[in-house]
Amino acid sequence: MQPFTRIRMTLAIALAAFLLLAVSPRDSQARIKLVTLPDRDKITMQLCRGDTTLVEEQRVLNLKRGENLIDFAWQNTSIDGSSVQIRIVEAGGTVNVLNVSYPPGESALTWEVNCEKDGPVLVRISYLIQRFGRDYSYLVTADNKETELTIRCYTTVKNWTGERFADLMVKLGFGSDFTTDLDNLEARKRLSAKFLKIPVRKDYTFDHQWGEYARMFYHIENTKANRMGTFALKSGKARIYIKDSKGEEVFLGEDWGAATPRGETMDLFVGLARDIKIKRKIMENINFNHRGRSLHDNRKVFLFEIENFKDQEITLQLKEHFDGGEWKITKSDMDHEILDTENATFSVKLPARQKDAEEVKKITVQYTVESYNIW
Amino acid sequence: MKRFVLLFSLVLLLGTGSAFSAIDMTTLPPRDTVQLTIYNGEDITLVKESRHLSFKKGINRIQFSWSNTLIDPTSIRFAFKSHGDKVELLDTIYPPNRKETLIWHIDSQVNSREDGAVKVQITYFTSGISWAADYAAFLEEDHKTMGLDGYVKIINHSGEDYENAQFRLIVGRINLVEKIAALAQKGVMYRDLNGKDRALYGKGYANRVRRAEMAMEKAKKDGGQRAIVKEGLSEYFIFTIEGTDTVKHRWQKRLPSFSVKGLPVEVFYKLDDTKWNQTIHKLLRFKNNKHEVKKDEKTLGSEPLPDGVIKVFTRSKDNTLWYEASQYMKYAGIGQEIDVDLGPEDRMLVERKRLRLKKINVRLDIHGSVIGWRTQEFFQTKITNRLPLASRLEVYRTFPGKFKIIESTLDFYQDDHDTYYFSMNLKPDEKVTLRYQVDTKNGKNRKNNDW
Repeated sequence: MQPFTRIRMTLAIALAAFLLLAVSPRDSQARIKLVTLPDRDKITMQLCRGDTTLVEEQRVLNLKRGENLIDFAWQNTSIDGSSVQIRIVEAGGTVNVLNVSYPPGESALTWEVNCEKDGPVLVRISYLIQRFGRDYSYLVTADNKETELTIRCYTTVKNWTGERFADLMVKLGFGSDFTTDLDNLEARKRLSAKFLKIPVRKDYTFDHQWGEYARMFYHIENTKANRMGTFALKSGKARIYIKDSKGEEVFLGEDWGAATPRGETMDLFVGLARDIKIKRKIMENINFNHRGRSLHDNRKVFLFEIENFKDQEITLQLKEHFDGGEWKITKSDMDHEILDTENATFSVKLPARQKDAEEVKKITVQYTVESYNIW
Repeated sequence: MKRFVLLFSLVLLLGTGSAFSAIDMTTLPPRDTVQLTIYNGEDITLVKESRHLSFKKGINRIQFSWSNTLIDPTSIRFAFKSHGDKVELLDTIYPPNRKETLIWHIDSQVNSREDGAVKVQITYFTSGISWAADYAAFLEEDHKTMGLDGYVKIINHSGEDYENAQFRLIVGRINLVEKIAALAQKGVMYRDLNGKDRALYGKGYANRVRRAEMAMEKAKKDGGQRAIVKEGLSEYFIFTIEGTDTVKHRWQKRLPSFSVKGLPVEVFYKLDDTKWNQTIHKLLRFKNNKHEVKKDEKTLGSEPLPDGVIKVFTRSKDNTLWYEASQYMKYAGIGQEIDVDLGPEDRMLVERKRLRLKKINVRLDIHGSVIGWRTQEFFQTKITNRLPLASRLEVYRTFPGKFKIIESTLDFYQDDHDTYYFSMNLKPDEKVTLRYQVDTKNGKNRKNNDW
């Protein structure tokens, strides 16, 4: 009977890598006569789209001419068994994977491999693994004048797979790859990229649906012109600090940064601007142009009283919402942009608070909106 | 060895058929060959096994038992494959109070000591064995070609070990009026058999199977890798795995079915509210067609691709794999186009707005109530391609009611009665703004067909 060569690879807690070679008759399922113990050559982990993680192990197997059996087992680890595959990278002769057998009740499989010649065969074994978490975070430090930022991008990997990884190369798909040891249940946070002196745009937006105060935002352009734009920024928490006059860092606030591809802008809500006082009033609300039983038009006048207690001039954006019907802004003191049938933005410049002035100047602006064909 | 009892005993009787007193001789002949034809649409497998039995002249009694298996008793058939008309099956008895057992009475003019053993074939349906196809696709970085590996996996939960069996896999959907698993547990009598179940392995079927077997014989061995020979069979396709395999009870075995390289593909993007809200999805499109290959390389387009899970990876230049998606792929006939959804693509950005709405032609009835009007809506969709490759995008829009696209900055095409789509090519970092006007007639204005 044609003898089989049997190699066993097991992934298990504290048995990170052992690979065993055996010679056994074809009809024997006993895994006996184990003679070699090749290690993983290299192991890489690709943090792919979504939460998926692909592991690729590179190993050198010493195969015999003819048919060889290679066992691969993953007790107590979270490998997706249906995803395990073996690829022949380099071999002295033709190597063919003939079939894969899955024994009952075990997290294991056996490849039957036919080899033209005796000798070492470089293979890559890949599989999808679950419970390998990752998250992304940003440490943003603004200079004292809030014109430039230092941005540090961190990646945290969390290993709950049940497996210990030694010399694991983690490929993030952006920034720099890194090699690390990672025990089961261990998490590791690493700096993936750092950007210095990044110009930042700061502005204020008021939306009466958010409450009585305007919100202050930082806008970071992920572009090459802005000394960034080398990769898409992942969604993650950004903690924002500012340097005080002595160079000490003071925490300003934090926000979830949305995924920001190259060329796009990340908007971060830093905090409430309590030095801007805004009062919004409806000064007129009348129906007119009545037709038939209920058909009519409507006119509303909105007025804003705004006081800027800051000692610098700022531009305030006012967000307004409409019912999605047929309407038109017929009159406005402010520059405005109609975003869509439900939203418009008005822009108003607020002068700085005058030093030594007893009262802050109150700015009053208003706009009129007419809605048509209402019933 | 068999895991459960599939007992096959031969008892020779002397005298007439009515004298069934057993003589002390029982044999358990091993299977010579066993062949399984597994259907993936239904839980049914046709098992065909051949054995050599020794007979004496006169009436021979053969007992066949199948305890702890999922064999359909109504399907068991017995046939002679040698010694012509010198042996004849007289009857089949299902003894009372003995489950999962039958007895065949055979009138033999053969004395095996002189004439040799008689080759017999036993066929039956069993349930609990299934097969499934699956695929691994390796998309090249330029998104123009990919490699595709196909596999078949055999799963045995039948209660029986099948050793050194030949496997044939049927791609297609057969019609069954009863489930084999139910029949296996019901113990139906032989008289319940109808001819319909037998039709599957009637003459025409057998001829085609023979051709598949001949094709298999011709298939050259390639480095020990066994070929899977594929042939059309009525509405189905039969995949015959060269050589024999052992699949024990509760084991699974996966075999390579094909491997093609350089398969032309198109990767494109799609925005379809009805499926994915406002998220753009990445799609992979290829055809089950023949394509240009190097000598000795294989190509698609010679057999259907059975439905199964496809796992798609992108292969970078350093041969590193990046996982894209895992999707259930529907059956694809020869020449059929296949779209695989690779999931959301957040580097293709979309911002859609309704810029303006206007109501015109408002009609009132004699009581002054609104009975009809026409809505004019002005839409804008801004798309930005932040992918490193030039990409094609299809934007699908579905509108309710009686509507018409009045004008558009891009050509549009009708998909169905309420869906239109726009198609555009975007270079890396290119931004495209699509604007269009849609008018909708409402109320009694719907009756008017003039726009």
